[in-house]
Amino acid sequence: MLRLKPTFLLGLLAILALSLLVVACGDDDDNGSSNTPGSGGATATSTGAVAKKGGSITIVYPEPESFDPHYSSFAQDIGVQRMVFRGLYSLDKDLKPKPEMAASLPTVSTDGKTYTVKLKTGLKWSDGAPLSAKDFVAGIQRTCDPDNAGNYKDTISNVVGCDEFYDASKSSDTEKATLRDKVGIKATDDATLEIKLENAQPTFTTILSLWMTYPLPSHIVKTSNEAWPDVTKLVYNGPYKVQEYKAKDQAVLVRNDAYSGTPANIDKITMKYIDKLDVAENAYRADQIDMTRVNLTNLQVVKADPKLGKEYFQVPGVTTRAVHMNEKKKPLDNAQVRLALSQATDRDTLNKVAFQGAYIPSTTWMPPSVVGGGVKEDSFAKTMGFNAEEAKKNLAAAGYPDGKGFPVLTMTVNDVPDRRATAEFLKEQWKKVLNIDINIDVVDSKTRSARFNGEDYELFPGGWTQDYPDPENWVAGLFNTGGANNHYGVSDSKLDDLFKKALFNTNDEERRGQYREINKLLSDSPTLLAGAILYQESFNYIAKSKLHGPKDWAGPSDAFLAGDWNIEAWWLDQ
Amino acid sequence: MTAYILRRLLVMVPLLWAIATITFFLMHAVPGGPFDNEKPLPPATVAALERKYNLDGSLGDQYVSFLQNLVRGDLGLSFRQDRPVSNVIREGLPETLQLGVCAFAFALIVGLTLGVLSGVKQNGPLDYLGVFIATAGAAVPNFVMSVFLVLFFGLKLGWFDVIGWEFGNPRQMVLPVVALGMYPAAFIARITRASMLEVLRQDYIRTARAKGVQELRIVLRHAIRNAMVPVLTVLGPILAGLITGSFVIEQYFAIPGVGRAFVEAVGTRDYGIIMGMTLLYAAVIASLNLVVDVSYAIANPRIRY
Repeated sequence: MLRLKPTFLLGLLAILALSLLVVACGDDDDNGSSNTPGSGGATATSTGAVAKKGGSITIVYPEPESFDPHYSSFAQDIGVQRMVFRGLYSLDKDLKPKPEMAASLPTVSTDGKTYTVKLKTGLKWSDGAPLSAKDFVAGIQRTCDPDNAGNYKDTISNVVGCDEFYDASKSSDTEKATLRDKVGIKATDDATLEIKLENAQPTFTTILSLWMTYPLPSHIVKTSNEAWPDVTKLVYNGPYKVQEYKAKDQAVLVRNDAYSGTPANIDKITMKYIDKLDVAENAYRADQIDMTRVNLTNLQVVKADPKLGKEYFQVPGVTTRAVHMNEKKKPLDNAQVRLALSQATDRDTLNKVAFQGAYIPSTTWMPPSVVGGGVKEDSFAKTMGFNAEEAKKNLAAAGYPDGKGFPVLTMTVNDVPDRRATAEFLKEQWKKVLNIDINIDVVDSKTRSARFNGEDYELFPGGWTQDYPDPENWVAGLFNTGGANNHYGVSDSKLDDLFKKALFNTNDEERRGQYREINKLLSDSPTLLAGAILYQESFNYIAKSKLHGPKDWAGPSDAFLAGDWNIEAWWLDQ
Repeated sequence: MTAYILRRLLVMVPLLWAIATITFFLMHAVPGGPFDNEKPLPPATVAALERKYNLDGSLGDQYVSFLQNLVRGDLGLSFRQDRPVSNVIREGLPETLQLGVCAFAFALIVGLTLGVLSGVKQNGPLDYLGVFIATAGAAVPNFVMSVFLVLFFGLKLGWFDVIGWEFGNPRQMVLPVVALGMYPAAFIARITRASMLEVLRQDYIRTARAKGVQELRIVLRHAIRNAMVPVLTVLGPILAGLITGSFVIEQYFAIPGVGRAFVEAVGTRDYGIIMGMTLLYAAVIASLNLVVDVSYAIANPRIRY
């Protein structure tokens, strides 16, 4: 029976109004990011300033899919995994592997196929349990385990028996157990590992610094296919450990005192899972968080803001964006057509108009920081960069003078601002320069990916984000004939030859030179195998001036946030 | 009455089954699967993942095993979060319910107060104010309202937090509740006002006035109760809408509710979450409709089932 009386309702309204007033007059101290005095101590930083210990920060971070380093494939997963786990080696600022859990660089047999690694003494998990060689064995076995379906198994396919185990998903448990034992890694004693490879691989020590080879706390996760436990009950060997986790809300990391490296400076890192950057920016302005990426649409406002402008910084990423052109579809199989489209694209204007100047216009597939050898962002601009006259000539030479007879090609994009802006820009420019029309087909992300994976596309604004800082990662599986992820329709005998030579070339300089040649085939005319390269992504951040580290340590090893690969070196003014 | 309620509850079973079936096949008919990432996975990995999450059988087999698991109360694993769907829902549901119910209470209090006052003082300043608020509240979508509230009360005045949700903490609750509750408050106010105006012109009100009953007593005892029937009709759908429709607000205020999980799940083809949430929302809506139907009979004794 409804018996609400107006006096009662008015009373409630009055209470509500009063409570608003009380709240409004309440204290404002609760800004969620207070600095607590630390335990003292100091370490040197890259900039020469003296790092202080202590304090806590709140940063914006996308929610990881999983904390399991032997499973994940997303950048945000890998970023947080590196904060809480560490492998045998770590890459330094110059991308050279340095011992982390290992006592020294590996001893490699003369044929290059057997690696022997000695562990540091006294290694411990965060619960105090000893960390031994068998935990590293379990880690690699887990990545190769078909029941776990590790997304990055391919990176360690060269380990003897890994592929055989991974491909046995339909076998019986006994057969799987046999195959697991045959994976070419074993602990010869508690502190020694022996790893057998199918082929000598010059980048293998780098691989031993990556997440898919991290150790598994085998005293907690007992078999390689067991479900990943609740992360707050798990143990860690990295600079931080997980103290608290709430899905869709936040994770709280605190310093792991059992970490064998230099102890982390900051006591506590709260990662707020905020999906939208405009929301994150509000929270930053309200002092609820200390660091976030900047919403591109708001970039100029942030830069012009007297306070935020000073806290803003930009870091080049390791993502190349390109318009891929399916070489199995006519007329894109004709390199002259691809060249004409590339030359009809004004990358500088694209960057200014579509991205507010946030990115770096580029014509090289591999970013300069990865390919080396003096390659710059604009290295191939002369031949395949913007040149309207040449573009018209090349299209005419391919049989389409003034765009006549050129079919209407479809460009498949997902509904994200960057991709849509790229597509709209190209549509207009190619019409203006080449007098050709394209269709823009906007689909959701999964549909777009499905079309790409099924090679059911003509033009595709895509690109590549590096998994590990080596040029190999920009080619292997992508552009070699029959590569598992070669959805570009690329099959080029010259590239295949070079790749075969480079992959197992133990002469590092020569190997890098071979990848530079491949990069030219991918980026430059006359082949232009990767399509029209457009720009290198960069990341734009705001971070409170009291926070040091993200900018100092930013580089090609970043997984998700600037400087996140060296989180232990971050520090706060006290 | 009991027989009626039981009958309605029984009808919900085939209803939910039909919804589950339609959603299941529609969901699988949409191109792109959960493992079609921006960065493509090698085919061997996709095969291993499909096996891990039981997606390697035919669609018919998957449907049968989905129904079998559902009967056992097992909603399967979330591919995107690599943990049981029931955990995801259990963790996010309290926030979504708290937000929805608080917004409902806000809408009820504000809407009824404004509606009654406007109706009683028709064409007076109070009425104009009420109508203005009701019109503005209905015209401004909640995502625009959120931006305004955050900019003014959160950033400019600093009265409230701009992200987060802690039940019982007004610093974190007021803005999302107002943003979500404003539209239904406006809606309730308009209906209440119209209904009050109609009731106040009825013969029995005139009779009461002729008998010299005090105006306050007329409004409180005779008018409001009769004016509530049309309002009651909309309350069920409004509550259901607030519980199931808080996605935008959850996202804008970074509230870890299930609304966010649901919409994200559609984008990431997280089949388990999509099915679990669809069934949950369907059950919420069906139950609240039942509550409304039953409450008619309570408010108006002439209605019999």
